[in-house]
Amino acid sequence: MTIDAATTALIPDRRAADDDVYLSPRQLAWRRARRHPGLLFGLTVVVLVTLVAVLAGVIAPHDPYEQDLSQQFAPTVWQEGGSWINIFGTDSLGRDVFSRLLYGARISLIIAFFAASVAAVIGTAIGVIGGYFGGRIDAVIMYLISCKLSLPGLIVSLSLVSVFGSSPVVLVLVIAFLFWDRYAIVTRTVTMQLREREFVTAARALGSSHSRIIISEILPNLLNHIIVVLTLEMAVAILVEAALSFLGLGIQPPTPSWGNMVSEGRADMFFQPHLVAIPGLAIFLLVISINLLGDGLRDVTAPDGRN
Amino acid sequence: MTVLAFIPPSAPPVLDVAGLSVDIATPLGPLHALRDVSFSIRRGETLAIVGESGCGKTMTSLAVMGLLPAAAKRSATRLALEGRDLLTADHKTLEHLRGARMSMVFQDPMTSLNPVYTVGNQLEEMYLYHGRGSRRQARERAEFMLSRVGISAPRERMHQYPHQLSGGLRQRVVIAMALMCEPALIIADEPTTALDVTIQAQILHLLKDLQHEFDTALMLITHDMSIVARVADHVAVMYAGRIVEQGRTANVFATPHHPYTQALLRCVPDPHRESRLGSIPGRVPSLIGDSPGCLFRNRCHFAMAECATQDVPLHAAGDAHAVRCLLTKSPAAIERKSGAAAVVPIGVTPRLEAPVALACRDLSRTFHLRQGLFGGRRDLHAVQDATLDLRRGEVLAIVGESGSGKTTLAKMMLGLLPATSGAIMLDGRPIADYSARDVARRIQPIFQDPYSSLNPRKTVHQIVSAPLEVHGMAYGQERRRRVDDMLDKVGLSRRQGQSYPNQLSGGQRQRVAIARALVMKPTIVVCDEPTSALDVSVQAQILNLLSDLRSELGMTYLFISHDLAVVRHMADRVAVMYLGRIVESGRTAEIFDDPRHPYTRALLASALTPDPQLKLPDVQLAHGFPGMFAAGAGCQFRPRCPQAEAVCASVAPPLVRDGERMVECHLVAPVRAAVRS
Repeated sequence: MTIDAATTALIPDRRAADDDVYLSPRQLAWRRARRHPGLLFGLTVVVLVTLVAVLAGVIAPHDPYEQDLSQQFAPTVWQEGGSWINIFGTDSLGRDVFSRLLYGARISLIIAFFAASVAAVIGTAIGVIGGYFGGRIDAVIMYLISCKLSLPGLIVSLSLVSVFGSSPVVLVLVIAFLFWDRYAIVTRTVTMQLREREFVTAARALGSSHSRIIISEILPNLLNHIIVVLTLEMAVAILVEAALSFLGLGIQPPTPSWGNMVSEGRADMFFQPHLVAIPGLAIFLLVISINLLGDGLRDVTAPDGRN
Repeated sequence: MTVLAFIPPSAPPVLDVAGLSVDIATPLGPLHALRDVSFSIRRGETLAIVGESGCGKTMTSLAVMGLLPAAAKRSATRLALEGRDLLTADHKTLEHLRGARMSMVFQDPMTSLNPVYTVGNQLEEMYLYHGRGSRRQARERAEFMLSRVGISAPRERMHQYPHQLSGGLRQRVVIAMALMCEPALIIADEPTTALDVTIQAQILHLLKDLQHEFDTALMLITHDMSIVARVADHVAVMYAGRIVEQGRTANVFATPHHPYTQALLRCVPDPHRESRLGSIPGRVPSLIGDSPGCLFRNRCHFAMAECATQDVPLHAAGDAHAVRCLLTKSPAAIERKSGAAAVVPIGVTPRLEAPVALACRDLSRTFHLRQGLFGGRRDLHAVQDATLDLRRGEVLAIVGESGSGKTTLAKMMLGLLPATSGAIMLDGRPIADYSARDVARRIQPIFQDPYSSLNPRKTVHQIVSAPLEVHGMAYGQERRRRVDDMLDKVGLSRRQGQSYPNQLSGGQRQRVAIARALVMKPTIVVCDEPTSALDVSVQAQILNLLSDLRSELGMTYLFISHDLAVVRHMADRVAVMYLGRIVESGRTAEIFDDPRHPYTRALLASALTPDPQLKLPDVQLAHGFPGMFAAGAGCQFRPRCPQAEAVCASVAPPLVRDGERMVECHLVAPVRAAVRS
């Protein structure tokens, strides 16, 4: 944005222009999004990675599980002796790194998306209830959040995964149950502010029930915030999944995930650094894109001072 | 104006501005925030800049102070403070001029003082920063200034923090701060808008007194024509970034030439004119991009074809009076103009004998405040023993300063807040007998802030149909029709039904809020300061709409306001609240013509009317912050009362009834009155 907040406040056009100058919240967000490079970059990468993950079966040149020990450590296309057959070369078992990367995106995204979504449901429910009712209920909820914040997330997930095994479902649930706090904190704060707004009082004066007020007055105003946190938490979930897989407690081989690709490449890191670098870069690129997307969404949907 | 006589006309003005323009780069193109603004202020003179919000008043002051936002570009042919050129002055020079030679008083005293420093600290800092002397001198000067702005025990106040002072006291401190270095120019940007009426009169008085004492020039920015009339020597009316009319206050008020000035004056409720308020249709146009001609033409009753094409310069229209309008250039047009300002009387007769729709008896609400974890409980009596009758079809106004319990009372009437004691009767039955939904169907609220009372994520149509939805009234086509009808009644188009609140102006939003309140056809509407967040021009529209709907639908209003002019215009009966108690109530005319309670008298005396012949009222009220907590026995108003007697401190005042009239005061009690006479 080329103008700062102070100037925006001084521009009278929002309150004083012809009707047609005004845009609905959605149109306004869209217009701002088109001028936001970070958001556009993040969105492009995330959409691309999602497409690749969905279409992995079509795009991948090889079966990601097919081993060919005679083709161990084939060089990448830009290295000497490399060919377009194995663009990113092969790993220690002769599997095609490029194909494994595509299938790995699938696992990473599925786990990240579901984990972040389940966490969103848990965190939002807790946050909204605390923020809306306040008082004792809120004190209990704050206590819950404090307890959660004092847990070392990664270590607890390590122990839980080692107890419950490491199927994708367990991974999703473990990550979800350990990373709902940000939703709870954000939605609680926003709900507390919304509760004081007069449109909530107006709804109460209509005789609306609490559940109706929460669902139809408060939740629509929380949606932006939830989506923003969701993207940021997806990035966290990808990293946690990668970390668990790297430690051998996440997705089990031979299923390809970016985390265990780094883990498997570690043994040969000094001779074939690209085996670690490529999935590592993929994680980095996806996480930073999701973060950019989340930051961008926060910027463009930020309620415009007054609305 | 007498001051002017002592100054030779050759004395250079303190502030001299000519051809000042400000452009702001926005993504949609350059925004012309100010265009060709010229004025000058001499020592001891007051110039008021008046206009609706978004017209460039604050922008003018920021441009003078050199505090424009980074994206703004300023140009002028002349911008000089005491002969010193501000256009070419560098950062350092400006920094030393600000505060020392020109200083500002902002609107909100709650935010313009730093909460972590003591008052004394902030005052001294001002002095020391500008290198006026030692710390000891700074302290002496600060104490002197505090006593000059009418703060008692200045030495003790020096050690207090801003939060320990009331709003009025804080604004006094801000003024003291502005005067610390005896500046030549004070810019006061809506200095009393955030304050109560009684405090407003006192603060304006103080500003004027100090201005005379220190012989400073005062640039007063306000939206309130009454303040302009009472305080300013000269006035500049701004519209869409331009000065449209400028001159001696007396001249401009006596013969306003520009249609905008005339319209602004007609918007102010006038007690001597029982009529429908004038209003200005439409709103301030977008200032983005170039548009030739007069920018007011779209809202002007007298607009002609030439207005769209011809740029009119500010030209003389009589003695010390200039105007920017085509009409005043051709006499024929003026003829046409004078015939158009017709007034339509309101066609509502007060129904004082109608049955009581809503009543409360000895209603009280106490809040228990806990001070920290181990602190004791303190009781705040927000409302105490309120007794009111709201009759069908009437408008009952509740007036009082902030903190007097008006909103708490309204919330209890709406059933949103349980009462501590006392009873509320709705149509003769206790309100407890009704379910929340039954109450909702009969009583609906309209709130103060239309920016907060509408859900930003819903369309206007969704907002207005919500009541029908919650109560399962009217379905499908029928519901749609009722919502459209309602939007029609409040003057919104169907197309606007599909828009979101952020696409509407403040006035339109308030119309939506009114539509939502009325769509279920309730019998009673509680209006809590329905116009205090709006511009005067819009306030007039909303008040007119409320009056129209009242006569059309036979509504009953409980009308809460701090604005006496609005109350006088709207209400059949008035109840005056002070610190949770209703101290006086009666018919509007009785209360306004013959106020009996000293507080009512002070309140009425403080209210300003746009009459330049009258000076500022001298409000005989101690300005001590009224204690919010139980003040012990006796009359709550006693600490501020100019007529308090010994008995007031010990015995609670009796309730004196005189027909419709109720007064709670020792001084009007018949027994005492007899003794006194």
